[in-house]
Amino acid sequence: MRFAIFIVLSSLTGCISPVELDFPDSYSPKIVVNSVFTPDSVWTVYLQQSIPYAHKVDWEEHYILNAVVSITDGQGMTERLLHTEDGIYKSPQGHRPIPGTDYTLTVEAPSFTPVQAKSSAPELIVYLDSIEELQEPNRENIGLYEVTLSLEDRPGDHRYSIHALHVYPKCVERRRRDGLPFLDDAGTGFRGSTFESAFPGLHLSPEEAEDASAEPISTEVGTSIVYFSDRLFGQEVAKINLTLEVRHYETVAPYFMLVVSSWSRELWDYYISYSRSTGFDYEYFLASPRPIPVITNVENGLGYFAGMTEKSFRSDRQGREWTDEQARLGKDCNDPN
Amino acid sequence: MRQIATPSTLAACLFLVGLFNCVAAQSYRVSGYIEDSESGERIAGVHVYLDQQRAGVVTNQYGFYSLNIPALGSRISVSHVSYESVVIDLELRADTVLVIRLDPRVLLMNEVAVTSEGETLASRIQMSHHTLPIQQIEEIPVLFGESDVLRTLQLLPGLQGGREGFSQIYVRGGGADQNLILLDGQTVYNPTHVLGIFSVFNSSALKGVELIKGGFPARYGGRLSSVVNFTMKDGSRKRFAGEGVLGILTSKFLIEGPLVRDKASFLFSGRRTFLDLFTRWFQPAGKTYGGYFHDLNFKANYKISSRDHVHVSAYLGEDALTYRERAEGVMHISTDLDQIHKWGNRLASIRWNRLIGDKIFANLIAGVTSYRVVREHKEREDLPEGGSEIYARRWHSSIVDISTRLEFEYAASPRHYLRGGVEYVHHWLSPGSTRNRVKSDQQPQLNTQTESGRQLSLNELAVYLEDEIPIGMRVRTNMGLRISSAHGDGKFWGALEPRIGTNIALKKNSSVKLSYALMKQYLHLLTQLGSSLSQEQWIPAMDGIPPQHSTQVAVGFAQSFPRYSIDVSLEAYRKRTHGLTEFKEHSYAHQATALGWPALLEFGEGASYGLEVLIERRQRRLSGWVSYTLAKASRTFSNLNGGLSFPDNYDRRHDISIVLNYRASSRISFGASWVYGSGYPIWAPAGRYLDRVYFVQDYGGNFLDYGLVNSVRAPSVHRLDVSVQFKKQLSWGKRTFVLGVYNVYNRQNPTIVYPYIYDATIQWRQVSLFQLIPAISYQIEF
Repeated sequence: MRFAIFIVLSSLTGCISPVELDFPDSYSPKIVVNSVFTPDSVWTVYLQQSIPYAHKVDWEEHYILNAVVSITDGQGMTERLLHTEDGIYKSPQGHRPIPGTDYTLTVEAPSFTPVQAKSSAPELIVYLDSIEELQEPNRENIGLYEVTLSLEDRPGDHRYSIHALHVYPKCVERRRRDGLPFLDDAGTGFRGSTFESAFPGLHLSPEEAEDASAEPISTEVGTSIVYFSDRLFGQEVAKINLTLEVRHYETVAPYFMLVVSSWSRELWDYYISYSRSTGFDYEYFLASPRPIPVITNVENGLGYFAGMTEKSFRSDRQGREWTDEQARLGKDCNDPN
Repeated sequence: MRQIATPSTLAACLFLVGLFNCVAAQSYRVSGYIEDSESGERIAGVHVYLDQQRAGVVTNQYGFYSLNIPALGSRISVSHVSYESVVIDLELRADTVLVIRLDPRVLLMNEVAVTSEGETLASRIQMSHHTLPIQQIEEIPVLFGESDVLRTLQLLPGLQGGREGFSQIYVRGGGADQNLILLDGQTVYNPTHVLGIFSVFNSSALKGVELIKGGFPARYGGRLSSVVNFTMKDGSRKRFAGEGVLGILTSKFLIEGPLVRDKASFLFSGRRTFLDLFTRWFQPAGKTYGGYFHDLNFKANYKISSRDHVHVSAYLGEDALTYRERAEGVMHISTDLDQIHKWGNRLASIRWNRLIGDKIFANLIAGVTSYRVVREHKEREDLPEGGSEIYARRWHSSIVDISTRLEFEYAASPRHYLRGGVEYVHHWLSPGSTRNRVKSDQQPQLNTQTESGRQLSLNELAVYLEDEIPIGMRVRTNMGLRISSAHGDGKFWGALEPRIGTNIALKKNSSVKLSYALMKQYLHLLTQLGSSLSQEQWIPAMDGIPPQHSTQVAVGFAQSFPRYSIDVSLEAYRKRTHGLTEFKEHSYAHQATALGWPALLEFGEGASYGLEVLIERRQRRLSGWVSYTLAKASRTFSNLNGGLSFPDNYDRRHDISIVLNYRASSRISFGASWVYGSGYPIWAPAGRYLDRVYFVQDYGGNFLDYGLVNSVRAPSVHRLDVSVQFKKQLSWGKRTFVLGVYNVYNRQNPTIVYPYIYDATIQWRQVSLFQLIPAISYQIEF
């Protein structure tokens, strides 16, 4: 619909031109925190500083290298993270977050206002009940699998996603997706697998999952990732059936993976606010009486410190769990072996 | 007994319809209506003045007047800026009902004014009040040659137009929802077409417009900032007439005439854009997109007797933006996609005017008004096995009012006027409901239909009394009290709303004016950040959402120079508003179903003050006005902007308008307007930063750190618009040819200012939607 609106408006548009604005005061840079923590990964926090909006800079010059970064759990545990490189701070002991524990991050750095943020990695109890091959690969080399998951919802409001992937044997863009680790130097990687589900309340985005009036995906709509809240099954065990399409390749066995994630409120809201933010397109500014910034849960600073808990289920055609080596994950895409 | 008086020299007709017993020993009452001699239309704002007593009245919205005059001969002057004045000598022996007919002014002399129809600006009690004759509105140069009442109102002091080129009005720091916009007594909830570029009011069908931008009298309520009162023409009771206008964007027509000569008449007019018809030629195969708007106005009236008059009026207006796509897939499976975004107002009312005795004018009005926004998305796929599958989603937001109002007016003396009334409105509100439907011919088990969204309602009841009375020789006041109440969602609210206006005469043609008003509004308009335009959601006061209220104090000085036909006014005001709403940061309307509206909203206060200057010249070959506004408007929300006050979105420090009309001859007239406005505030980012982990791919990782709300100003706006009208009287009627240019010197005024990433830096850009635009239109009247 916006397309139609802007077709009409574009016909009236005179021109777009640069304009100089007078800004009132000088800008005081803030500490920017980037940290999505999961129970499967060592505590890691990326720090840099914000800059005046009009500056053209090399971002590497603005990594914060000399900060004091601490994480506490409110029960006496304090973990001091140490700088490794490029403003990345990690737990020297290799400690990891514990699901269901509330953590507080504090960052102090010379010439910056100290910042603080709180979040937790939600508890996640999910089981893979069964995998059944419904259809052997057809002429398009697509096989169908019926997967059943049991998701045990915990007290409180929770937000989830299910992401279906399969191993893709060719060079792929190494883009990080929803908490999955980067495949450094990998040629073989993942691609989304389409699935359908009749489970009620599945949506294509966190924003829709928050919208009680939004139409959930229908059983006919294929997608590789769905988002949902526990609004329809609070504190119950939800049985989720998925019909999964997996492409078979000649060079790689049909290895596929389901990633079930439980999102912290902070990460969920950040994701939504990003999708709603006005960004750099005048369409948004025309539609909005004022801009929509991206949310932050970092007091006195910017960015996010947010938890997430994931559980991955790997399966091959026979329902067996596979390893990175079997799937040749991380192999150079030009490596025939 | 019936008398007929005809002052031949002034070509005015005078009908004495009734003669009644008088009550007073030394004076009699004369009351009745002022009518247009050619069409029979009743004329509002006519000054009926007693020469000896130096006192007079102004006809009300329905053309009614009532005067007490001495028994032993009196001279009354009847004047209106668009009509020839008449002077009538009366010698009454009883109370009398008198219908006075005025001839329209000859064209050359018809130079009209922005205010002061008969009475002078200095003598009027009501502050912040303007009336605009429709004829003058049609002579002011406008965008695309489309006469636009709201756009013309923007040229008056104290009114802001929002984004450059748009038709909304923001009055003295108030929001768009705080204007009570009435068409024949019914509320118009969205007064604009085409996302705000044109107003919904077709000037051809209008008789007049009245604007009160603060401290409005007790008879008006339910809004905080202004009253914009449009009256439709009744339709000629004398002869059939018509009008057609062919313009660049729209064309319109009007027909009117008697249903029963001198007793009943009708008016029917329509307007439509044709952009959608033109754009069809340039669209790719299989895709159709477009948009249009249309208006229909209808009015009929029947004069039952000299005392009873019934009017029926209706308005229907709609905007639509459409997108349709038809695709042929494999195996000849076709899919259809239809998307429609529509919004519009519908109003209807019936009004009964009755003269009770000789002293009381009564008006009973009942009506219904609705406004709705609808977005529809429909996909249809033809299945290879036959049949089809349909997925349809429909979102709509609406407000429907049923209202009734009973009003009385009583002219106790030429200087003492009483008004009273009672008003009831029932609102049905549906602030965003969704219906989803799936229909499959082959898999009936998939067929579903779900609906979400809560219906809300609110009852408003108000009574009011106004007393316009002199205090001594120099002071006249209009003291009023409105008692309003609302009931809904299990809650009850009530309020006393005092309204006081005072005129202190300094000399014959100068006065000081004061006003105070407390106003209450039980509805809120929510505008979702990031939503499509025209996605208004009206919600009522409810448990957790208090009503809005404001207080306004104004002081003014008015000086008239009758010799030069010049009026000067100076007004200063201060307004405080409470109960303003904004969505909480990162809350949005979709959450209302689950969380309820109160959980989504922040409540705050507004403050505005300003100084307004208006210098106008009227009834001359060269007429027009100069206005200047110095204003400041701010808002404070405890959880927005760190609790600090921030400028209102349409806060503009300086605003200047110069409007000129020049009649070169009876056939040619020129119009020009120049406007200047200092820049609107922008909530601009002060800094930027990276996301190195999560959305590192997007925007090059650049995120914006927005600073204090609205702390930066957009560039100022100024432009010159000109037009020339060529009129010619023909044997069958009249034709008018209009040429105009909007933004003559092609100033690039900012409609939108937004950040843009350019060469690794963030650059500010502006969209100038309306640059130099020529206009042409051709109008015929018969």
